[in-house]
Amino acid sequence: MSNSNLFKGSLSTIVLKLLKEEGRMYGYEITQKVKDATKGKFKITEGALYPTLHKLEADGILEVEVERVDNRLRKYYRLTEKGTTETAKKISELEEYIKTLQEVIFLKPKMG
Amino acid sequence: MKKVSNSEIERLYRFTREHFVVYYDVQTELVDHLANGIECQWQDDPGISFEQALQKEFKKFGVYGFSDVVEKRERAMGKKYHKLILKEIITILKRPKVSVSMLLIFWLSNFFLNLENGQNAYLTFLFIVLFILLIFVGRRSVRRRKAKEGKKVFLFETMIENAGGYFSLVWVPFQLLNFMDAAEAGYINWLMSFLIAFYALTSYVCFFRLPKNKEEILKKVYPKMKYS
Repeated sequence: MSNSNLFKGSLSTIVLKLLKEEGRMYGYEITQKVKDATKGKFKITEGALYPTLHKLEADGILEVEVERVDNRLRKYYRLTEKGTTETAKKISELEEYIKTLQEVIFLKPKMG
Repeated sequence: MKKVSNSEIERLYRFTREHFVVYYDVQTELVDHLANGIECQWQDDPGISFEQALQKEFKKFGVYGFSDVVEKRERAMGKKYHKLILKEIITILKRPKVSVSMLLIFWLSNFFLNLENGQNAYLTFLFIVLFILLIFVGRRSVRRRKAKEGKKVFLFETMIENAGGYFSLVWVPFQLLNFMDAAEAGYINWLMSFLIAFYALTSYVCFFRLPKNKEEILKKVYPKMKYS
């Protein structure tokens, strides 16, 4: 995406929405999912994803499960009860924001 | 599909350590991420070597490498640690023995602070207690660090062992001394007594209660990870 600042502000909402749909995911899976879903227009950088996940975990919005997959340990993230409520709130806030932004950007000049 | 081998996983752990990631929990998450990225590259280009693929993955973390991830992780865990302290304080305050002790510390502090020349003597006494506590915790921390040499170190474990950044807060009651003359004691003594009682309780939680229950806490924070 050309303006990464616009994306940064919505990163946690995107992560929460994905986890709501998928149930549980691990870090690398999230980066790939976003890349695939947006046909490469959005790209989550590793340096931004993990701090976001860790913050959400510390805030009690996400919980973790560790599992052995092949020859290594994998950390899965899933929404907590508080996280499910928070996700609905964040999505509705983002929708409201997009709607307002559209109204401002496509504002028609008053006639007369 | 070509998979990352056991020896390559070991190499990835070493790689994270070489890039200043000391905590095993953070290393583990990064190792899985790097391994996934490398396997993904092998899918597109089976000819690429492990080391080349690793360097390519590492570059994706940007100019600061893993340091940003570690720093933010420390901050997030610090927040978790402070919440845990608060939760423990609320839990133990419900015990009559603890709440009565706190009231007693509060009352005694207020009594001594209101004595003529009591302030200096009492604060010197508290300073000595704090100094002894500092030596005790410091020595315990060194002893435990030695025992842990060459073993896995977890971030939250380190926070519990070192009592987070507790010592940076402990000087707050002493700062109130600056206001003493202006306020002519009065409510400052009440406030100071409250802070002393609060710090006594926090010290107990940070230095004794949390380290004692460390294994239990770590099992919840790091499910399915083994401590050794």
